[in-house]
Amino acid sequence: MSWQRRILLSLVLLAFSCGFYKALSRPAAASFKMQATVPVKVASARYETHFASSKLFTQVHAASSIELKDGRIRAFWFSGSREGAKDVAIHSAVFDPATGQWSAESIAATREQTQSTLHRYIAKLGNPIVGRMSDGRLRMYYVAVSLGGWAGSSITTMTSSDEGATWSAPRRLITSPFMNISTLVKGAPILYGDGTIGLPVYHEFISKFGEMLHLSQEGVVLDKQRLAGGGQGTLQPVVLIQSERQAKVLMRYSSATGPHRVVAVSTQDAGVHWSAPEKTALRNPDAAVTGVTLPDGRMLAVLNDQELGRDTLSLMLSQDGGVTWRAVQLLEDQQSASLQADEAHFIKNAAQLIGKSGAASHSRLESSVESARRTVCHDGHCRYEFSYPYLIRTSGGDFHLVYTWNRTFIKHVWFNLAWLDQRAVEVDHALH
Amino acid sequence: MRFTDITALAGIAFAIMVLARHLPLINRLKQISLFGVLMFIAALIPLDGLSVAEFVRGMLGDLSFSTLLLLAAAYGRVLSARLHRNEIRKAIDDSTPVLGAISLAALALYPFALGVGMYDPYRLGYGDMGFLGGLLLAALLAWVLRRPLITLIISLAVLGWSVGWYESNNLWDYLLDPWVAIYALGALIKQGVLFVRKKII
Repeated sequence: MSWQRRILLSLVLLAFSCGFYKALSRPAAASFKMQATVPVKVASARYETHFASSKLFTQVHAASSIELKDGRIRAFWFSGSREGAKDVAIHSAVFDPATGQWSAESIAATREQTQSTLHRYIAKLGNPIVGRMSDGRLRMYYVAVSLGGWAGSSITTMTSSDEGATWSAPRRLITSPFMNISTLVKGAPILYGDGTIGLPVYHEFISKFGEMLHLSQEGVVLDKQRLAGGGQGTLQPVVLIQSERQAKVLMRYSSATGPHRVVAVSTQDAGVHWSAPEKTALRNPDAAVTGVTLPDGRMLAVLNDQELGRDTLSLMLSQDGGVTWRAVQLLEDQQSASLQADEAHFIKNAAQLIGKSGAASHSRLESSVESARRTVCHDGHCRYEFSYPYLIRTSGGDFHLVYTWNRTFIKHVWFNLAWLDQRAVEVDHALH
Repeated sequence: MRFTDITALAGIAFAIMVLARHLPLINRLKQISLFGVLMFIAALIPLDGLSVAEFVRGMLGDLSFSTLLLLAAAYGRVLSARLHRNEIRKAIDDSTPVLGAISLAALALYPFALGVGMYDPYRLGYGDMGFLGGLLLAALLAWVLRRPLITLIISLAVLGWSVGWYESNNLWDYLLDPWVAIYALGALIKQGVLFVRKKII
């Protein structure tokens, strides 16, 4: 045997010894970590709305939020001259429940900063999502595109040790063999009992399907599971954890074939196996859905409860683990306004909506309406859009919902369990 | 800059160095090795905040060990071309099994990873023991059959994955990338067409 062949054989043995050692070091499957809740006794029902974003004459979209350690809520969204523009950055603001006020906006990430620290060309950013890791730090995930449209996205992640005030240098998650493109994030991350992270993501290039990433606390991808097949048109999975072993995933349905319903999969073994996808009773016009599980097992979802358009937004409640749902609140309803969607009607309507919500000061009302008109109306036609809802339940038991309000503002709805129970009773009475 | 940025950018700069050799008149240069080194360095120098290698990395992603080793083999052939022309031809002939193996792997991976069906073979790359065992057998078989390039590609890919050479934690990304897959499939189709044409004529 020649010395070259001996060296080559030695290399094989060395490489595979290291390889098998690494494979054996993978963490074993762990159970889901349940969200801890210390319910605060609240006598009165609370339901109030705000605008989380304040910058005008800019397009905003894809908000998410997280409860900070001091009980405040920090929201994130992307903002720029238009979706996909080079000036789009990840913005953030903090809501203080004690004062009922949102702070001024700050910037968490820009395209230029992402490009320089990732050492690769980046064309645009989007979809920021934040989760808390088991060590207490925050981890943000957002999508970055180098080439093409959103189907060319990959996920970038960074951490914060000061509750989102500053962020570490971003790094990329490698999740796809084809130029690492087409993995996007929308749903909230979940935690496993061993501190690892589950991140619901989705694929859009050529075919659309939901997936689940399993990440180490350091942000290394440990595994990836497909939640639905390529031809099933599922996007933007949201995980509703029911117990340490059980969870249900709701997914946006993105296919021309009807009926247009939210698609669900479930697990009984903490995500080791997932059921086959099936359509739920929830209508879905190819738009994002969000949801949370209550400590008593009930489920809440927010979505456009229609098969076409995004001009309504509904809060839905399920008492049987997601089998049946009933609307407990119509959060937005502009279906009739959509029938007269010319600019004059829109301006009048938008002034009422913004004024009624109390979200913009009187001095800013006119400019807020004009900002909305410029974003929503094109060629004399205006299209209402209430989309990309993101719902969280705080440790005190309150609920905070953020969503895109006509691409002009990020709207915030804050309600508590007392209000929800009250609405559930009212809806029950109305039905019987 | 992270270690994985350095390794990825060095790989892309190396690819630029090898491919730049095909530019008009470059192949006639006497100092082709010096030109290669200069191209490598130039690809890493930032212009307006972004180097050519960083821009290419944004577009193409990190390059697999298959790509790098095939490029290295090609560059080696070029450097020795002026001395031993028969060796070059032999080396090119020997590349067919490598291209075949790459094509097979690509056909087994990409269609399914991009959504054909429910099964995702990319998942195997996160440390599946059966996948690693299969690769070990393939590497040993190639060693027995005296196909050193296949053995080298598999072994270095597994070693690179084990030590975290790139930012990917998936072994497939060390074995394959779309560019080497397209090249391998194209080269095999071209060889097949030439073979058929030769038989017919």
